[in-house]
Amino acid sequence: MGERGATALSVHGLTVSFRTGEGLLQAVRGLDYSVARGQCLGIVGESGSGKSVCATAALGLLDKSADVRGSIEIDGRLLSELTDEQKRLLRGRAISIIFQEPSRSFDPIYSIGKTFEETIRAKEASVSAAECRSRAVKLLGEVHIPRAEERLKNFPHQFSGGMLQRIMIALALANDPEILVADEPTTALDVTIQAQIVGLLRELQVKRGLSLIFISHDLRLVAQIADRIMVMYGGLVLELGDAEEVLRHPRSPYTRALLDSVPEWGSHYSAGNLISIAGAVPNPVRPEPGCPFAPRCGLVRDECRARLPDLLEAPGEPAIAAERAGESLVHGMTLYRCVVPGVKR
Amino acid sequence: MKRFWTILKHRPIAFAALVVLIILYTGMVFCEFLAPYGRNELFAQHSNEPPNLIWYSSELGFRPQVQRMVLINDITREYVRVKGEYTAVRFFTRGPEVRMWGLVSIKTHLFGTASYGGGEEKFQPVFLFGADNLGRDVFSRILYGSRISLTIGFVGVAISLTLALLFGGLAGYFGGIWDWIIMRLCEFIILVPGLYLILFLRSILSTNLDSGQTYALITVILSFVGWPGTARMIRGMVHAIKRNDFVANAELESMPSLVIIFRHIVPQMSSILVVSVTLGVPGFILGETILSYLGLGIVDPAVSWGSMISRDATSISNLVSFPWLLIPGLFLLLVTLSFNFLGELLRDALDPHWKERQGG
Amino acid sequence: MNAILELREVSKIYKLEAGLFAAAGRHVWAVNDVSLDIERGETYGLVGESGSGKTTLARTIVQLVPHTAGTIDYYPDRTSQREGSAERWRISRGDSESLRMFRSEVKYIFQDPSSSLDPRMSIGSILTAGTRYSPRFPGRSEVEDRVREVIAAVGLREADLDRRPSEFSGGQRQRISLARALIYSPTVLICDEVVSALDVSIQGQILNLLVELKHRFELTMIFIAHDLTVVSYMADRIGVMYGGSLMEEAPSANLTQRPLHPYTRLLYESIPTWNRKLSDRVAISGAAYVPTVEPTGCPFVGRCPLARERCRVEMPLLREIAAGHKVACHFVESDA
Repeated sequence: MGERGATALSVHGLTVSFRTGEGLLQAVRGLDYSVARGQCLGIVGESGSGKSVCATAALGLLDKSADVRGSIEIDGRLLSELTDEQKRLLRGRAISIIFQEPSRSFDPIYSIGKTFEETIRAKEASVSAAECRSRAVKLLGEVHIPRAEERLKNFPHQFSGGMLQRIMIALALANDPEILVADEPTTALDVTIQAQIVGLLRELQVKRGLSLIFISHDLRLVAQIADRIMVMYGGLVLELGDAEEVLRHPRSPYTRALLDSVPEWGSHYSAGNLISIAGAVPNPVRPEPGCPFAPRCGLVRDECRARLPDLLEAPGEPAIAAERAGESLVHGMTLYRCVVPGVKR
Repeated sequence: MKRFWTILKHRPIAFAALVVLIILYTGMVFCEFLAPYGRNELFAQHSNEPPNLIWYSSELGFRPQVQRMVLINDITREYVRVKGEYTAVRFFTRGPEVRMWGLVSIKTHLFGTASYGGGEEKFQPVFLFGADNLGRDVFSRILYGSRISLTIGFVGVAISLTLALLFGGLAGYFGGIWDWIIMRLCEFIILVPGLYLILFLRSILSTNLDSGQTYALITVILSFVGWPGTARMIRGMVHAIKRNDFVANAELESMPSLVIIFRHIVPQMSSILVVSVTLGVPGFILGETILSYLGLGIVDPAVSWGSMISRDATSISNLVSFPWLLIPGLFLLLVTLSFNFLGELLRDALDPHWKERQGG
Repeated sequence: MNAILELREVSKIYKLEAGLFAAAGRHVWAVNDVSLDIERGETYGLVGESGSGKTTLARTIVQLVPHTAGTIDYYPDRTSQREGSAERWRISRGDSESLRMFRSEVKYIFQDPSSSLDPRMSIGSILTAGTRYSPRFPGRSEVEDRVREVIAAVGLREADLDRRPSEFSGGQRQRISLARALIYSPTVLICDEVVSALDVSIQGQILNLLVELKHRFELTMIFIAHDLTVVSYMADRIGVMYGGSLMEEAPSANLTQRPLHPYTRLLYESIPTWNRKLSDRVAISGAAYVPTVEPTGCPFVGRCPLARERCRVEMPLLREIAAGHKVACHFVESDA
C-alpha cells in the first residue's frame, strides 16, 4: 500500500473533455488540488463548472469517451500506472463516493443486507455471509440507523431519503476507504435532514480520520464542513482557500457574486433588490478565451477577456507558479484567479 | 433530420434498404409502363416457360435478347433453347394498351420485343422471371401485384394507428374506469391468437366479393387485430407524458381534454410512432400474403404477391420444376428486410438519447 | 379584511387504488384542515419540506387536484369588497364556467423549467395556445399586443418567439413561464418552487424579476419554497406547513426573528449560515410524519422536543399568540 504520506489525494494538471455530437465538451480545463489526510476539501460550483467531474475522474468512473489528462495520485500511487483491475480494487478501499439521489443509488430488488454483502464481497471474496451481516450492522450503527439488525432485511423503498443517504454512507465506508467523495449528497434532501447528514459526515471524518471531498453548489453549506474550499466556474478554479476566509473575504468576483445571490438571512425585498448576476453559466462546449466569468463580471476589463488570468496568491502578489495550488494542504494560503489583485468588497 | 442522413452514411445496409424501397415503390407507381405485358395477359404457347432473357448471342452480339424456347415434354413442361433463334429486346416498344392508374391510356412500355401484335405464332415474349402455368409473365404480375402488396401495409397501418391513438390516448389520459375498460378490451383481442382471429373473421364474411372489396376487407381485418398492441404502448406513453407540467398547465388554461391529448401529448410521441409505422408495414404485407396464400385474400383477376405464391408455389414439384415461381417470395423478403432496416435507422435517428460513437 | 382568497378547513385525502387482490384501499392524508387567508396585494410565503402538503394545497387552489373537504373562496372584485358587498366565487371542479374564469385570474407557475414548456412548440405558440379558451381574449389582435407587452416585461425579445424551449436556459424558461401566465392579466400568481431548479447565480435574477412584476402588475403572490431564507426574503407573511397542517403563520420579519413553533425552530436551526456552525445538537430525527396513517394529534409529535401525550391525541389549533402571529402548538405561550 505504500507508506502513509500526508497527502491522501493529489491532482495535477487535470483536464477532462468529452466528445459529443456538438463538439468537444471541456468539463475541466486544467486543475490542481490536493487533499491532506483527515482534511475536508469543499468544491463549490454551479452546473457546468466541472465540480463533479474533477472528483469522479479520480475514481476512474468516467466513460471511455472521456479524455482524461493530468496526473491523479491516490495514496501515493499514480492512477495512470494502474491496470483496470487494480483501479477497481482501489475503488472502495482507498477512495469511495456517495451520490446525490439516494433513491436512485440502490438496486431496488436487493435488500439492504444483500447490497452490503455484495459490496463487501466485491473486494474480499471470501467473507462469509454472517461476517458480512455483522459488519453491516456495525456500519449501520455508525450512521445511526436504529434497529439495524432487523432493517437489513428491508428494501430501499422502505426507507426515507435521509435514511437511504445514511445507508449509502455506510456502504461507502464498508471497505474502509481513506478518502470519501460526497457529490451533492444533500441536494435532494430536505433542509432539516441536510443538517443531520452534514453533521454525520463531520462526525465520521473525525472518528475515522477520513479525508473528505464535499461537492455542492451551496457555498454556505460547504463552509459548515470544509476546511478548505475550492470555487469552480467554467471548468477552472477561481478561488481556493480556507473556508472561513473564502466566505468572509472572497477575493474572486465570482465568489462574491455567489454569496450575494442568495438573500442574506433576515433581509426582505422591500428593503431593496438582490444583487443578481446577469447572464447564464457558460457552455462547456464552447469556452470563451479569457476568464470564464468575464461575460458576467461587474469588474470586467479588456484583459479579462483576452487571456485567462493566472492564479494569484492573496493578498495579491504577482503570479505564483500554479503548482502551489497543489499544496492545498497549506492553511492560510488563498489563491484566486483574477487580473484585479486584491479585489474585495 | 440531419441525424438521419448522418447515421445513414454509416450504415450501408440501411442505405441499400432505402434504395431498394425507393426502387420498388417507383416501380409500383409506374407499373403499367414498366411491365411489358398486362396483368392477366396469357401466352398459352409459353406456359411455364423459364426466364428467357440472355445477354449475348453470336447472332446479335451483346444486347438483351430473347432466345426462343420450345416445349419438348408436355407432361413435365420442359423447355429447351432453340439455337439460332433470337429476338432482340427493344426499349420503348409497343405493348398491350393499358390505362396508367386507370386514367391515361398508353401503348408504349419500357421494354419488350419488337414483334408485339404480330400474331401468336411468331410472337416471342420476353419473360424476365419466366411464366406461370397460364403463360402469364411473372415479372409483369409482380409489378402489378406490388400495387396491392406494397400499399396494403400503409393503409392498414393508418387505420390501426388511428384506432390505437384514439383508444390508447383516451385510456392513458383519463385513466380510471375508461382505462380499465379499454385495456381489458385490448387484452381480450390480444389473447386470441392473431392468425386464427384473422382467418375466423375472413371466413365468416362473404367470399363473393370483388377484388376492391376484398382488399378493403382484408385491410380492415388486419387493422382490427393489430391495434391493441400499439394502443397499450401508446397508453403507457400518454400516462408518462401526462406527468409533465406543461400538460397540467394546458389543463389550467382550460383547454378541452381532446385538444390536450391530440395536440400536446401525442406529438411528443411522434418519433416512436414513425418507427412503429415503419416496422409495422411489413407485418401487414405478410398478413395479406398469408391470407392470400390460404385462399382467403386476393383472388383472380386481382394479383398480389401473396396470391401468386398461393397459386404457383404451393407444391414441391412445382417449385422444383419451375423455381422462378418463388420470386414473389424473394420480393416479400426484400421488402420486409428493407422496412426493418429502415425502421431501425429511423428509430436511432429520432431517439434523443442515442449517442454517436466516434472512434474509441 | 381584505382577503382575496379564503381557505377554510381544506383537506385532501388521496385514495390509493388497491389492486384486484389487495385487502383494502390505502389513503394518503396530504392536506389536513388547513385554513388561511391570502390578503389582496400581499406575497404569502408557504414553506415546508417534502411531504408537508404545501404543493398539494397550492394545487387545490387552482383545482389541479380537487380538494376532498373544506371550502375555497375567491373575491374577484376589490371595489365591491370595500363596500362590504363582496362578490364571492366558491371554487370547485363542479362549476366549470366559474372555474374557467377563476383560472384566468389565478395562475400557476411550475417548478421544473424543463417540463413546464411543450418542447415541440415555439415560444409564441406556447404563450398563445390557451388564449382561445380564455374569456379574456375575444380577438386576435389583443393577443398579439399583449404578447409583446408581456415578453418585454419578463426581459425577453420578440425574436425569441420563434425559438423552441430547448434553445433557452433554465432561467429564461422560467421567464417564459411567467410570460405565459401574465398574458391573462391575472390577479394572483402562485409560484411553486420557481427558483429551486435554477443555478444559484440565476436565482437572484428571477427573484428580482418576480418583485418587479408584482409591483408592475399589482399581483398578489403565493410563493412556495422549501428554502426558508428565500421565502423570508420574498414574502410579507409566511405560513409554515408540516405533515399537511399549518403549524405557524406570521409576518416575515416576526417569523425570522422569533420563530415560535418547534418545527419552525428546527428549520431555522438547519439553515447553514456563515456566522454559525450547524449545531451538532441537531437531533437525529425521531419518527417523521407518515401520511398514510390517519392523523390524530400533531403531525410533528414524532420529532418534537416538547412532545407530550396530549400531542399524540389532540391536534393543536392555530391560535393567535401575538399580533398577526399564529401558532399551532399546545405548549407555546406568548411571552410578552
